[in-house]
Amino acid sequence: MSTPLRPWLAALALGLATILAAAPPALADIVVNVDQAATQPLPIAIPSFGGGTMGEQISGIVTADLERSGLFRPLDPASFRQTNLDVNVTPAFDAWKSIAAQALLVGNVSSGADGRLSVDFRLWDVYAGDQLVGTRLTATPDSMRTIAHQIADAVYEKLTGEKGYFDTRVVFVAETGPKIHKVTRLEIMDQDGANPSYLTDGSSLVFAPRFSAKRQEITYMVLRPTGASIYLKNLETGREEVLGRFPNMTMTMAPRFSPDDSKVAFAAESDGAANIYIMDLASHAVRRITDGLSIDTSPSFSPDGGQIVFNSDRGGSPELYVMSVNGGGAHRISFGSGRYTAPDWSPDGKLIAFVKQEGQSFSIGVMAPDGSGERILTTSYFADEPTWAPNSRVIMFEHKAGDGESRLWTVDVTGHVQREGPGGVAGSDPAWSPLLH
Amino acid sequence: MSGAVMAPRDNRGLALVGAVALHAAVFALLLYAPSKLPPAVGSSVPINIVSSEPTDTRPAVQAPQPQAAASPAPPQPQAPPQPPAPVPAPTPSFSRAQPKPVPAPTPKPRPTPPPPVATHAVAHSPPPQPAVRPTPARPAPAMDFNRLQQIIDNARHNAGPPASSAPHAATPRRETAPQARPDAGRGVSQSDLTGLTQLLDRLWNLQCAVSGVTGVAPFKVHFVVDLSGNLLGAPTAGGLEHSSDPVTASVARRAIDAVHAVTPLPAPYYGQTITVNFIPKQACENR
Repeated sequence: MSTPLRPWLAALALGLATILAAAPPALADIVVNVDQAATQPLPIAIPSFGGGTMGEQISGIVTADLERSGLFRPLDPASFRQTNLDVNVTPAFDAWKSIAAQALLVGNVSSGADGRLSVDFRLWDVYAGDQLVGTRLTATPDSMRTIAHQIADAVYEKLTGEKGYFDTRVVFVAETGPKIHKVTRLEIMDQDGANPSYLTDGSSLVFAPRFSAKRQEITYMVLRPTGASIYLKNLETGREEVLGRFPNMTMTMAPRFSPDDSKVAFAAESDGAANIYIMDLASHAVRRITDGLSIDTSPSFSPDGGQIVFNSDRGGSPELYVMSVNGGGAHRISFGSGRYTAPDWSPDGKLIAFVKQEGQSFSIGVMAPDGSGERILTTSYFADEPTWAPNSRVIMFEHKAGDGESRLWTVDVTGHVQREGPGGVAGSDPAWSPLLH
Repeated sequence: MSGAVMAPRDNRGLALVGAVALHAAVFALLLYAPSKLPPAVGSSVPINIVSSEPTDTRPAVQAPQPQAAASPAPPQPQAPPQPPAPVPAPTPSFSRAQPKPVPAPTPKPRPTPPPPVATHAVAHSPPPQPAVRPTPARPAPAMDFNRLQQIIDNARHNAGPPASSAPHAATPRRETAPQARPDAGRGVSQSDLTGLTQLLDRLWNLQCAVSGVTGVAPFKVHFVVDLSGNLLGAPTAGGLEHSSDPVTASVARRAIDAVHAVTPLPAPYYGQTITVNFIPKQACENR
């Protein structure tokens, strides 16, 4: 049986040997390891969109959004070597490579017969010559800014890989009037400060607004001489509902929605102690989940709804603790020096933002839910009430300079990108909405 | 007379006092007025509805390319002139400022096709064509698989003498890049490699602040350099640039962008196949 195979094998071996001998000297592949990188803002070219003034406004809003994120560097339009781009024509990529643009956003605005705006835009990878996004957005003309923010979100997501946060809103406590008698109102605005609108008339002291995770609703506190109340307000309809009055409690604090919007956690003070309660929004039944003589405040749900991070002085000074949503297994997660307060669990669940007071300075920091990896992002005369953008990369907080004026600021999770907040308004207690689209 | 004059002055003084008192009262009222209960219901602030649809169904057309002025097609030369033997390039020091190497001369004259008519008939335009790069013949692989297959076939059928080492007439050996440019692709020095690595380090724009970037596993980008130092075909990251994970896709695209940006490469790299190992986690740690 084996005999017939011998000529086969011999022929094959001879053939292979001959080929190897006759083949030209092969070039070995060059292998290079790249274990360093630039971490510069991505250079992006955003020529003014076609369509007249509206096109210019939309591209301007997109440019401002991306620049403010700190991850993009919109290029100076004066450097552009190709002008009058048609959104439906492939750009001359060499012209954009020559100014080191890595991405190019081209768009055009048109109005339909029904008066609705149509915005076509295309995002191009300049080096690869690929179209990354090509979309048409349609809406009524008064939604122009919303369209622009959604374009910025699409660009941000495609180029960074994480969700954007530009089509969002911020609700906060606006402060007006003289220092001795400030008027506080709930105010809502786009994340870039546009479209501000008061939600309350300033006749009562309001504080601690918080957004629902999924619905266009907020909770907030109203304090009157008769006691504190928790309100629920639907932003779509304007309808308000009192979730609970707590006449026997001298103070009720920091209501916050559960991730599924079925519950609200809050802290209430009674007889010198503050404990954490959970209210079922359907039945309004209230359940206490901490019990003791300490001050337990600022509950914040984990994104899966299974845990709560809160602030407590049960160990002698304010620290951060995590417990199950039923109140069991509370364990301390902050161990650094100073006082830890105002925890806020990030939407992606990976970090907890907090305020840390050391001496006369206040810092905004982040740590993992197990307490590891504590990082201070910013330190100032006064900082408080951090709130996460829905993509868990930017934190807005109340910042007070030496003049005592509270303003809203933002800082990213690296601490490198810190900006005075939108609108330059005086305010405190910000809460960031989820994405609106 | 004087009494008549004084009376208006007195009235003016009283009016002044009254105005001051009134202003003070209003100011005090504003400062210390009791709050009204219950609070007024605020207005609604509904969100704007925006509908979206992809425009990919209407792809962008290729921009008309500038063409040389059309001229009558010259007669095809009887025999294409042979390009002069390339002069071995001196081993250059790696630099982005290096002028683009002159490609091997091509036979002239060459018939020029008429320039395509630029069209803006979008609805009937062809799908978007990403910048199509010329794809000259790739360097032949080190092993001629056609010949190997022939030998195996012959052996399988046991039809004749053992396979000869002579090249098969029907499958002439392709000219390889090193043969076309004997000095090209050789002599890549350590300093060349260091220069290439450092350049890629600078050109790979990695957004380490984005969650998940450091979790992207190391990946390779393969590319081939043609005889003028440019990319031969499109570099790929093994498909990671189209990954369903947006962070992975973004990191891979930035790496491919870096490879695009690093070309043209100097002569030592001509005809070379290059593999770049991109290591996101280490790159972010080494910032």
